Amino acid sequence: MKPVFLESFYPVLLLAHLGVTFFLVGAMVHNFWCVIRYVNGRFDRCDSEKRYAKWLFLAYLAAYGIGALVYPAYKVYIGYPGFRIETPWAKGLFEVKEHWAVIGLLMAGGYYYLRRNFEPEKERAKLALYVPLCFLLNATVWYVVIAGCRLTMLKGSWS
Amino acid sequence: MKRGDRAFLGVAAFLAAGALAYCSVMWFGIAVPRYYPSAGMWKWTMDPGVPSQGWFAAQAFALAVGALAGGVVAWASGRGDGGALGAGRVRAVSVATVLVLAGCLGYLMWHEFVKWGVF
Repeated sequence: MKPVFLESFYPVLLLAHLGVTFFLVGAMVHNFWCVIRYVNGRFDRCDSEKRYAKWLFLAYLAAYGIGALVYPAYKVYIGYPGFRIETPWAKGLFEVKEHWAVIGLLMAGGYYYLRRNFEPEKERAKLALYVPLCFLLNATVWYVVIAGCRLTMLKGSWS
Repeated sequence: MKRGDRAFLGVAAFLAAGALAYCSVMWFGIAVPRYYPSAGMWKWTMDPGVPSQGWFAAQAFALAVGALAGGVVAWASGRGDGGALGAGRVRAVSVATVLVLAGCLGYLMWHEFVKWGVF
């Protein structure tokens, strides 16, 4: 069998995926608490919130990109032979993780672009999209992170 | 219409169209190229018993459809009389977009959890 794309870099890429994810969660949680203040009518941290939205998007892109590089080797050595037959529930967790990650990518991009083009204090009607989008993005990323950690604990490598 | 309103409508269209396009690959069985990592090649067909990945092409399809829809809506909304987007329309578009996103996320979870016996 031919070596799978980047399989020899798998451990390094997996660690990088985890490291960038920590950064993503940090930016996302900071952003979330600022958005909660908007819900309470407090707009004193708009600049910080905009900055966190930018870092959230960049970290999401990086985590997603590294995850996509890891995926071929993961599929061949872990996901396909192991999870699919021995622990189908884990395969289910993983499939949802991958699907939600794509929807999350759309949301992270849309969220950042929307934030760049509106002022929360002056255009409060647009919070009707921005705030629920923030909640959905948080729910999506938390699922992806927790499922990813659980699956890696179950089987993180094949050697 | 001002730039911020056009961006708002464009983002809403991008999100809804992208999410629906991604789900439509499952709903309508749209054939996307699949990557065969153990052979290092792409094929349009799905070979049973061999690991393959349609995920890469499905996400590219979703991003392309979303970007196209968002771009068209943002462009078309700039061709009007230049008036502001009313609060009522902003809320209606917001609710519709959030419902589409939540519905797609819920469908994807339900589909895979039922398929793999999580539920």
